[in-house]
Amino acid sequence: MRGVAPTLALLLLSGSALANSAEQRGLELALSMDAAESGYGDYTADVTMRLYNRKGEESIRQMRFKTLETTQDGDKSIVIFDLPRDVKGFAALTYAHKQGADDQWLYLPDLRRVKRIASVNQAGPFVGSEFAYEDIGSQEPEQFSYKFVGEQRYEELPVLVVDRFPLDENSGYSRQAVWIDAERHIPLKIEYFDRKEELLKSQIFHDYQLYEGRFWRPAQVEMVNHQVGKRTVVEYRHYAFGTGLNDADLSVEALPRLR
Amino acid sequence: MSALLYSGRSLPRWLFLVTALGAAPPLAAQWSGAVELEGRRFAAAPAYPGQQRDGVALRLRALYTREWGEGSDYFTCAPVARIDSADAARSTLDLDELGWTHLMSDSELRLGLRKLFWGVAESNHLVDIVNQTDLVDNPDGESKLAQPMVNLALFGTGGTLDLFLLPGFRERTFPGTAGRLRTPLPVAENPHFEADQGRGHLDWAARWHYSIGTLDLALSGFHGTSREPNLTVDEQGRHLLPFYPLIDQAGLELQYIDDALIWKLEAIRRRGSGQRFSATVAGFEYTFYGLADGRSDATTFVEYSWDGRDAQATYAMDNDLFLGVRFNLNDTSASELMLGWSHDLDGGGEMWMVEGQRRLDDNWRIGLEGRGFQSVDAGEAAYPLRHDTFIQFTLERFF
Repeated sequence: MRGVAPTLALLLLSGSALANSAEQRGLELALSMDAAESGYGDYTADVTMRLYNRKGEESIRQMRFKTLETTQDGDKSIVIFDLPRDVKGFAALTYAHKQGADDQWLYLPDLRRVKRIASVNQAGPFVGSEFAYEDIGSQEPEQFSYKFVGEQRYEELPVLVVDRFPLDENSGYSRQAVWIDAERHIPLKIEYFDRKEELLKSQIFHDYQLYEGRFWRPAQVEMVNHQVGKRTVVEYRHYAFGTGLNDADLSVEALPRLR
Repeated sequence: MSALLYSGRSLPRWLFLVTALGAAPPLAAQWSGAVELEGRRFAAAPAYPGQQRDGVALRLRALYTREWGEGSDYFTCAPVARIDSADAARSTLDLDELGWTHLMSDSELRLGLRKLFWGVAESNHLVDIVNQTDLVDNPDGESKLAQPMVNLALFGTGGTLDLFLLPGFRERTFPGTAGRLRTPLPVAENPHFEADQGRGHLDWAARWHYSIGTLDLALSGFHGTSREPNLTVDEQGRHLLPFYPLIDQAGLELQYIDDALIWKLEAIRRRGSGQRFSATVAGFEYTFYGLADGRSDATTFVEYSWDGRDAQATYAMDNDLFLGVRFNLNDTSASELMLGWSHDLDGGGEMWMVEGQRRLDDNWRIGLEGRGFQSVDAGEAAYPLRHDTFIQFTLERFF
């Protein structure tokens, strides 16, 4: 999300051969969506995940997110787990990269061990939820190719629909269809199609709030898995921007002292 | 509590000052903990006089943390207690952590009783030398005792440099006369030290850790009393006497991540009490993702251990191959199961292990652990345990 201006220039240059094509329009929308979301510096949020099985039974995960924007590469982020209690004190640190696999570390509090792990499991479920790691992590425009589909209305709002195709071969998806608010350039809904081109999941963004006068963030995000009938709802609370996080706060050395 | 692991005799006085920091004005303070019931069942009758057959243990652990100075200071206290039905030596009261951490711009000062982990391998932890091994808690050697330390960590573009002063030696714990998983003769409680100061010898250690892309490199050094005692039979032939020599140890850790494949190497060079030797463990882990239902994964481990001491070592994997697989269902219950098998390539025998756990709900978890010893040779470190194949179940309640 950082270094948007040079990226934009580069991508627009490489896309110039496709002038005015559906691919070009899709890419431009992805970049404007990224630009609308960028420039926050850092933020923290408290996150509650509610996991519902087929019978509608609920189990709750609680965690804290800390994210730091970097100017050259992808975000640095930490997730600290509070609930369920058996994973309290577990923490995961991710350095997202525009190119190549992310760097990822886990802190296992029982063993006081920081373990660097392979981050190729993009399609794997995050804490047993219907969100895959790739749905949760920071998404860079460079990770997809695009195709503009058309203009529509979604819940009475004018939207632009773009298909995006993951370039990472470890992705669990063949395609994602994104409904973008035409004015605010924020996602309202994403449909995920599996490698067999079948509809797998729908992600719906609820109750967008404006922070710092320029950052729209959803208070609730819902992910429905159509193939297994399970559902996960994520609630974001206590969003704080510009909290003064620095590289040391998002380092391997910081992991053991996070509670 | 029939045995207090920390009687205070090796506890440096300044630790009490650290405790006082727990009373500083808090920014945020919190309590958490768990109660755990453990039942152990052995496959065969005990081999040595005085041993009980099976055992039930109750564990209590708590963690208190507080933070102040806008997140620059942290205080942690983690008491642990265990009562065991079979072995009095397994009924203990201890501290897993009692410490103060102070953050500065490019460094961190950590004071108190702490546990830390060095290393990359799964089956053998050669480099990990700071904390003493707690064999009473678990025969696998992964359970450790907190070590009194002053640790200054320096962060920079050239990596991280950790400097340690380690006052207050802690002896290795061994099961008591009534306990299983012990040597034929119980280990005596009055150890001998090469250092004139005994437990009071001031040890030091340093470790430098650096990453280049997905390659992690660490070099470490240690000077002080060995965590691994030499055991000799006493004059009456009734006990094993632990002798802790002074040693110097250099350690190397390498890990390289290549997508789902992770290469690992640990090596040490140790000298002390007229002995010099090297030991190493090397191997890889590879993860198969999206199995069966598309959510599960299986991580396979292949590791080879070699030890220059051959079978003289008290816990040596001298020429051993370890194969393991860990299944993660990645379900709501966070179910996982690990199976491991280690084979002595000199024909000295085989060991297997199983470890699994599953969350029952937000507060409860069950666990399974087992270890087996098969046709272990008389010369091998695991020979005394050949009748001690066991399986244990645990039930944990978190609060």
